[in-house]
Amino acid sequence: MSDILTRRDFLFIGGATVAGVTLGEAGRRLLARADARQGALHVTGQQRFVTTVCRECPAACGVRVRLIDEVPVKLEGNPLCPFGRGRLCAKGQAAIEGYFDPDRLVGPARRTGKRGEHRWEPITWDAAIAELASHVTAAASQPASQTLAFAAEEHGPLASAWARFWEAAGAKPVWMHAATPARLRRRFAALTGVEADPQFDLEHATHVVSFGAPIAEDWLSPVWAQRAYGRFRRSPSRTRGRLVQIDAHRSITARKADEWLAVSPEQQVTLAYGLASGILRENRSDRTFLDAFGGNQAAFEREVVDTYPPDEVATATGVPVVTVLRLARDLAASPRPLVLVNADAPAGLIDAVFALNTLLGALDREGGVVASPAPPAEEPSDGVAVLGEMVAGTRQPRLIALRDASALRSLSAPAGYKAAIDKAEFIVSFSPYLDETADVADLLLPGPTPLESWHAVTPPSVVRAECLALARPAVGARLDTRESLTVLRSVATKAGGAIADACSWTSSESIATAEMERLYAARRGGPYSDAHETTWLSELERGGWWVSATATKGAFAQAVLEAGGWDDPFFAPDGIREALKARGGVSWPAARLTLASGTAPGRATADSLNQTLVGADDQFPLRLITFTPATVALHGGENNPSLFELLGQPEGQPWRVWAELNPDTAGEYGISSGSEIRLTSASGGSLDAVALVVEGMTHGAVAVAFVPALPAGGRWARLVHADVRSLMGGDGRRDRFAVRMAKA
Amino acid sequence: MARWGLVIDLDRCTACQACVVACKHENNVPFSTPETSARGRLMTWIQLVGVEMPGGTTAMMPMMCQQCDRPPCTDVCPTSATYLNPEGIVAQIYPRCIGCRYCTNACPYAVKLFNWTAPEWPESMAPMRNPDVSIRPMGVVEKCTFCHHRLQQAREEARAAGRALAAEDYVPACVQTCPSDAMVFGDLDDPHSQVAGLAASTRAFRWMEDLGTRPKVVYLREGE
Amino acid sequence: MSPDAPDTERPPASPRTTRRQWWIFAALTPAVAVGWLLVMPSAPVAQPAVFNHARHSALACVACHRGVESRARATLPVVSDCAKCHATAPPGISEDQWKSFSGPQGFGWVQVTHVPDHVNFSHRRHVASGRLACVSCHADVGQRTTPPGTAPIRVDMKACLSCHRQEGITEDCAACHR
Repeated sequence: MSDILTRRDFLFIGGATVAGVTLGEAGRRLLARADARQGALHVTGQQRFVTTVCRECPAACGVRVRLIDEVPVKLEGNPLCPFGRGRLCAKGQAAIEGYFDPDRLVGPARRTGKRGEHRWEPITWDAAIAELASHVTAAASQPASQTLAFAAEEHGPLASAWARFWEAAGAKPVWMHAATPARLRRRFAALTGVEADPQFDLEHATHVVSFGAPIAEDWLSPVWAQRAYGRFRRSPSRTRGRLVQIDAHRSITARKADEWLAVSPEQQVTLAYGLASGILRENRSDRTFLDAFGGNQAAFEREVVDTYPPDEVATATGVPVVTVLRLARDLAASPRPLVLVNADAPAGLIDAVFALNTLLGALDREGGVVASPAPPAEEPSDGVAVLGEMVAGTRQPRLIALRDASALRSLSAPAGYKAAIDKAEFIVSFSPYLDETADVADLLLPGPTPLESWHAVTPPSVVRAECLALARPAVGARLDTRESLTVLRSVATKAGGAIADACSWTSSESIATAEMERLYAARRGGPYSDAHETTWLSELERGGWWVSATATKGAFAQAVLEAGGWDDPFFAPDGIREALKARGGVSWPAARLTLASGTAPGRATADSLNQTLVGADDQFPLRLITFTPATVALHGGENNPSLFELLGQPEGQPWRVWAELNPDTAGEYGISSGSEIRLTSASGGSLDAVALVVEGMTHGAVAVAFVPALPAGGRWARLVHADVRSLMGGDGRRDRFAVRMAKA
Repeated sequence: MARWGLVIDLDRCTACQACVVACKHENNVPFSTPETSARGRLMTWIQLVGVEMPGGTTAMMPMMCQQCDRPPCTDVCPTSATYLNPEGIVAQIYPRCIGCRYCTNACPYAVKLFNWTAPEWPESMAPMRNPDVSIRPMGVVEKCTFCHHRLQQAREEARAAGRALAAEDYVPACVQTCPSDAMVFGDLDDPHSQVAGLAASTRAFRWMEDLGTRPKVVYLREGE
Repeated sequence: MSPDAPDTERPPASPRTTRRQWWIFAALTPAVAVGWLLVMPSAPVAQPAVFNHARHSALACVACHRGVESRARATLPVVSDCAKCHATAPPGISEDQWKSFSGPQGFGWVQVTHVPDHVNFSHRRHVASGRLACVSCHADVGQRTTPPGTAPIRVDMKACLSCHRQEGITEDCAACHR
């Protein structure tokens, strides 16, 4: 029976064939459909470039956005930007990730649960504006300083508008600290009497001693600084520039320097005066310059030479006498020496650095310190100090408005601040992200990310031109966001009175347009242009000519927006020497400091008020030094996954927080590079990090990368657990903490 | 035919890693997590590595495929998925690659990367990917191509405009963004090119050149 | 039908036979399915609107498929292309359909000829620089009276290479693969 085909066999074979064909046909259609759907994303692949402004730091470099079918795909530098010149740093490159961030706020929302419970309900913009208006009106009727408006420090028409609104509402606009040249201005004015931002001509210097200036990281205007560094090191037909870095830990700049001296932050001022003393003792100062502009130089000389004998400087700083004297000689022997300083430094150190530059004749010359031609921007109030007042209880705001900046984020110890901020009755956040501060807000009014925004920003003054970065949104809004100024305008209309009078704008666009009309009427400068064009323009202006590249106001605005900004190249020689002649030379700083403690008149912020070491004893024997890696943005940046990957690089420890140790210190604990360690501070907090043994690092100290853990910052920020701030108390001082270390 | 090469002046380089991010975006290299990094599966075509130099100092070198003229990786490839193309670029043809990882082991620079998993982007980030570069599937090896797609496009542009390819038409993304002008790209066979001049400098060295790999990435050492 | 169903003329099927029949069924079904997939040409997809290429043969291809000479990708026509000649809905398309095609979604044409993602193909390189006629890859689409549901020519690497060889164009893998 099995060798013949039965009826049943036949039916089985037939059924199988039918089933097979049916399946095959279904599969075939499925395949055809799947196949045909491919490549639907970028349909025509049409490419276009638009200009915008990078807002990852105050430098405001020009950016060109590559759009494919109107979707941003890549950021490039804007070649016309006078200080960026077509280049971008790592943060600038990563900025595009913020626009696409999957954890962005999708629209306005109101808090429903308790603060920190993360319960929100979506509301309409009208309801949100009405709610904000009622709070603003209520707060405005109260005495001043009942409201605080925090924003990341920036200058320009848009920032002024924001400040105008809040001042009219009886609030205090507070800016979160940025290390721009404006911070150096007060000390520069004290020395020279010139009210302008000092500029450092690093590019043309031949020998540079830098007191903690993070040239390779994020000094003043990072892309400009790195470009200047490259040219300072290697330029055709010039000898190589030499760099000595004085830094508490082995920063990237220290690694790039020809010589790195590990000197603790407080003792750097001693070393600076030590160098001055060395120069004066051996009579190596620039006599020609000092004879003309030295002023009361004899008294300063006597004071420095008496107070800073090389052997005492050596004892205080730990730098050998021969090295101190050699550094002084090398500086004075070079054709164009220059001394640099970080904008964050205490006032005493900045004074010492400017005094050194004066001794070297480095004022108003190529490769020296020059005065910015741009009218100086107003130095904004310091947010850290204001937060300090809040923690101390002397200031208790009812309403807090937060824009762009995460006020808590940039501070050392969030716990104390969080408690202080929590006391506010009403907190509104304009941030596009649910960042650390927005997390405690009552009302979320998400603004657009930089790619979707208007820009009118005054960049920090680093090149010989007055600049204003201007751009229109590169792309349309991806989500239901509104520019904070548009929202404030609506609030003002509702509130009426003085607030409405102060708001002369309708949107950011109207402010930018008005600014361009003003520039057109000023009949000077022009749209950003390439280096040759800029030189030509400046030559013309020197000759008293101004030729508009455009015929009408509208065409001018169009040209400026396409170029990404307006600049007026500066041609006249600097006024420093003339100003000095008029006032009888420089006013030397008071150099008499207590050598032993190294106490210098500090900048009046919570950062530097208390200089004593907290908790140093047998229990906590190690000095904690914190530093901010170049790829960690003080404001924002937590939505850029590619930057997290760069943490712990080039040490081969991506995503990790690392701690640098001297080989001797490491040896005592039996720790080697790559060991897992745990640091514990007197405040009870602890931190796990990966150890890195560094030759030349200060003894008895541990330098830790300042990486805040930001659980609210989004899916990538949540992956970083180590929080340096947990080591610190609630009073906001970043340095001067003592810790204990153990193998984890 | 051009022989493309890259000169990196370590004296100008500030170790800022802008090149690393630029490359990541240009070439659709996926993001990592602490876990993948800890397992040594970080995907990055260019990376800053600390290298012990003679004299005890540590140089920080941007390290990518060295585009060897005698590449050890191509010799071991059983499917000819990786080979030296006529313009000196060590190419990797993903559909041919069977993921045997012989080449990743043969490469002395450890710059060939294996896709242990299929690359993933959050949904909102998918449109950010560069349509000029394909997404590599799981199980193939990938590496720096000197942004070869940019060469194709530059060549097409030049031909459409009826002119010859100029030196500035084609630069990889890393070179384009370098803030300190430390990277110079061009034709090593053109005696008038800037790269050829710099590659002949007394400061020039090629990494691990004693292995006989003849890299076309040339470093200029730091110092006088 | 159940294999265990009673049979009046024959003795009940033994369990051995039944298993054999099941084996035949289990092996044959996927074999036929796979065979069908391999042997049959790819299935046509439905296009959203009727379109008669032949009737439009007076127009150059580039009139509706823009970008052929200037970009990597050519476009599929949108309503604004048709509107250059057609003031209202063309014959065969209802006014409602026409209205929806004018919306942001467009026609929703299904692209039938395409190369895989790992191929760096450019129309401009082949059409503008290489002077290749559209029919080389798209065959008789221009003469058809209905919109194509399948690729008229299977564009595979063999086809690319044969032409590249014949014309002496580069055969370097990296020239086309990305």
